[in-house]
Amino acid sequence: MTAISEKLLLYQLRTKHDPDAFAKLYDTYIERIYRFVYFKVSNSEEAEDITSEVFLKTWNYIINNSGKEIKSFSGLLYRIARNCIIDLYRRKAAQGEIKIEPEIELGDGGKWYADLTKQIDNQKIIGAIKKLKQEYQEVVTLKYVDELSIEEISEITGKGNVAVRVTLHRAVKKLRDLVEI
Amino acid sequence: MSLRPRRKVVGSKLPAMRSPRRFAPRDDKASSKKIMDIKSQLKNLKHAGVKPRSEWLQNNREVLLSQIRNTVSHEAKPAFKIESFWPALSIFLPQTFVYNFVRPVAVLLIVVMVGTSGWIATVDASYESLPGDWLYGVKRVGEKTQSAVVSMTGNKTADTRLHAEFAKRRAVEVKKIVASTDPSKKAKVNEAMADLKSEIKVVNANLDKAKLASSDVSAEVIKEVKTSADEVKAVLESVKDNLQTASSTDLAAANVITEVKEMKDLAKDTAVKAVGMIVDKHLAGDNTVTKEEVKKELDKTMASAASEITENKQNMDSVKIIIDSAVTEAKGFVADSKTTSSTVATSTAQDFSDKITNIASTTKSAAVQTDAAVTNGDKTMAEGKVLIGQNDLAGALSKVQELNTASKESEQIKDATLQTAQAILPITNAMKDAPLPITSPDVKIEVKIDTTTASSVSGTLPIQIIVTSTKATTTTSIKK
Repeated sequence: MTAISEKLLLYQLRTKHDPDAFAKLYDTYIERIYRFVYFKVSNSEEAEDITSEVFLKTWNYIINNSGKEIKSFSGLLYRIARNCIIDLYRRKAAQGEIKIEPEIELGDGGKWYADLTKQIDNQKIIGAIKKLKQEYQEVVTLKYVDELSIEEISEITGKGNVAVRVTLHRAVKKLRDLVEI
Repeated sequence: MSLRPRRKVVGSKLPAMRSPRRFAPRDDKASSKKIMDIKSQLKNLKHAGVKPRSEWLQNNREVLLSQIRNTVSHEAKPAFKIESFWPALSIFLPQTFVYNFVRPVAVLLIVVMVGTSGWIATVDASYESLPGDWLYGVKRVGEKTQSAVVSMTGNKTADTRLHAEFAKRRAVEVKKIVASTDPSKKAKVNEAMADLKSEIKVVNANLDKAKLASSDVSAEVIKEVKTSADEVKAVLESVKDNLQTASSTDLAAANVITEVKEMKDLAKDTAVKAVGMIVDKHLAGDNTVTKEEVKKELDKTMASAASEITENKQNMDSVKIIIDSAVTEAKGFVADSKTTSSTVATSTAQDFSDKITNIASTTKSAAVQTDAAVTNGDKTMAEGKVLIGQNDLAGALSKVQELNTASKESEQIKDATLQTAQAILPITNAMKDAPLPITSPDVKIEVKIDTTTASSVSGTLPIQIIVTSTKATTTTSIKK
């Protein structure tokens, strides 16, 4: 989806509250948001719940805040996703449930086991990502998995462009060290 | 003992130099390769590594859409509101830019557009308005603004053109008002006439100024002014004809005909003055109008004046024929009244007959004058043509001026005679066609003059007389 068509859909959404426009945006971003959430939670069920919650909250935000500026739909989605994840951590912390060592689980079932070598590599890298601190996890996944630009990441995280670049650089180095171990 | 370089001695005492850490070579290639591997592995995660279950995707989509549709169905779809336009626009442009720049500029533009388009539309609609119309004021204000702007720029050419155009407009307005059935048209005609007079005066003044200082008003512009003056003259000519034939209206009773005639003469003088100036400018070396064009203008002006003189003469001939026939009729009526009517009636008829005979003699002498004017006019024109042929433009111009004066004089004679005849002719015709005893106490004679189809007095006088007689309740008599 081009930036212009995304903006047009957002325009329809904001001015006409068009569910079909929202459905198109949902189709575009569902996998990305799921992935973004997945790296930060312990399992796919949680990732699914949070992703679903993210989209519903995004809809409500757009409908109820017609006067507020929304620079980009993706930025809004990621910001809401971050907040949902933070909420989840807080709830878990309150219940004493946080798992430090995440279990390796991948979302697309049996197919994934077909390529064993690849699976091992993926397991390794996912394990390494999950060992990174939140700040690094975020920028690495946004930059290399979701292929967002530095500007977009800066908007989502609320940091300056330079800060994002520095964080990303450090995160990659850390990830390299973790993978090497 | 051999000398050893001091440096080496000193150096040998120092510990071996270590390269700073930052210059220590590392296996950069291997490191960057590892990083590249990690990056590509991360990208692989997108394609194969982490994906949501397809059944969850589908179910979640349906559930979510049904949820959001429920929220929408309860509220009416928002209609377009200008308040929601700016947030919507800030989807495409930065919000600060929209609110600090786009919105103020858009508002300003709309204000300017509404203001100017309204003004243009109103002035445009007012173009056809006449004095007394509520849009006429707008039209005049528009014209005054134009005039003020032009005079501020000090461009005499544009100013002269503009006032010539305004003079044409006023003349057309006079014509329209005269042709209208407006009960208060007399006042409106006077208003338009006064404006016309002032416009022609401004044009004249501009021409004088152009003559004095060798200003930027070229011969070409003066030629345009001349054309405008001719147009004004033609319009006023037709107005005058209408007024003369519609002699029963209020306008004829008023001094309007005289004023129109004055104005027409003024326009005519302006045209002649313009021709004079074209000649002067050309002789002074202004080549914006060629010699051939100057000659053409001179010829055209002479021909126009000569044709007016001829037309006046033809009108006079027609009036003379009618008056002569009226004299015969009046004499016959006197003879009849002597045998059939009372002494009073006979005396009244005799008085009337004497009066009409006097008019006939005046008409005759007027016809002789106009006839002589034609002869002189033809002669002057022939001389003028010869002078033009000899390239004596100044000489030809003096002939043009002579012809102009002659045409004005012959018109004056024609108008005076026509006015007298128009006063007496209806009565004569009424007496001829309805030979009722005019002193009878119970009959009144009603004379209606229908001139609605008349447009010109050349050839025959367009006077149609309908005579009806009805029982009268009071005795009436014809006023002399």
